[in-house]
Amino acid sequence: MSTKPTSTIAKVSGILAGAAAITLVAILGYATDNDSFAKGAIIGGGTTLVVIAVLWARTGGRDTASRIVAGQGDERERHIFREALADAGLAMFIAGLGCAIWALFDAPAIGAAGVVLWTGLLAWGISMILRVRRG
Amino acid sequence: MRNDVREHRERLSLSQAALGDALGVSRQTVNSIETGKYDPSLPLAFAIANYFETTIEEIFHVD
Repeated sequence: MSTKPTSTIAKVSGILAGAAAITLVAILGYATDNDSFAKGAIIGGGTTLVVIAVLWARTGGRDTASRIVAGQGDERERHIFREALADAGLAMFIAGLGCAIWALFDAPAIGAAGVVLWTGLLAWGISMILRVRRG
Repeated sequence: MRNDVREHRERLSLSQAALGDALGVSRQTVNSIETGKYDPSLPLAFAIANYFETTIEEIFHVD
């Protein structure tokens, strides 16, 4: 029923792949004179990697987030994860509609993209917390 | 759906964590099943029934 634990090699590879992806995005950002975009990618991506690394380090970890990140979540935890992603998708869709209306009033594209992405991230986090607490 | 997982577990003097380990799920999932907050999948329901050497119908009851 449960999945096998993620090996240390896979964990390190995942972190390195994430770091490489962030570096690539940052390089593209700087190369196209979008410095603030590149900084955002570094800060946001770096923070995400640190959070994932901490959760992995806690594995053996008793909480749901640690087990899901470590690939050890059981069927209920994977269900919670999928439901939270669905909630995030719905929230991003609604935010996208809002931003489409905002665009009629000359909204900046980067601002609208930020609203959609942050809405998704927050919705996913809140949904995970609520669903885990509800059992 | 109602179930008698807690009764079966306590009859064997098992903790939720021990039952979770035996079934390959977390303690929290065992607790959620016992309190009726989560209905297990069919494979997990079969695993629970097999573990207690009984049938699904003896453990899970439709309200």
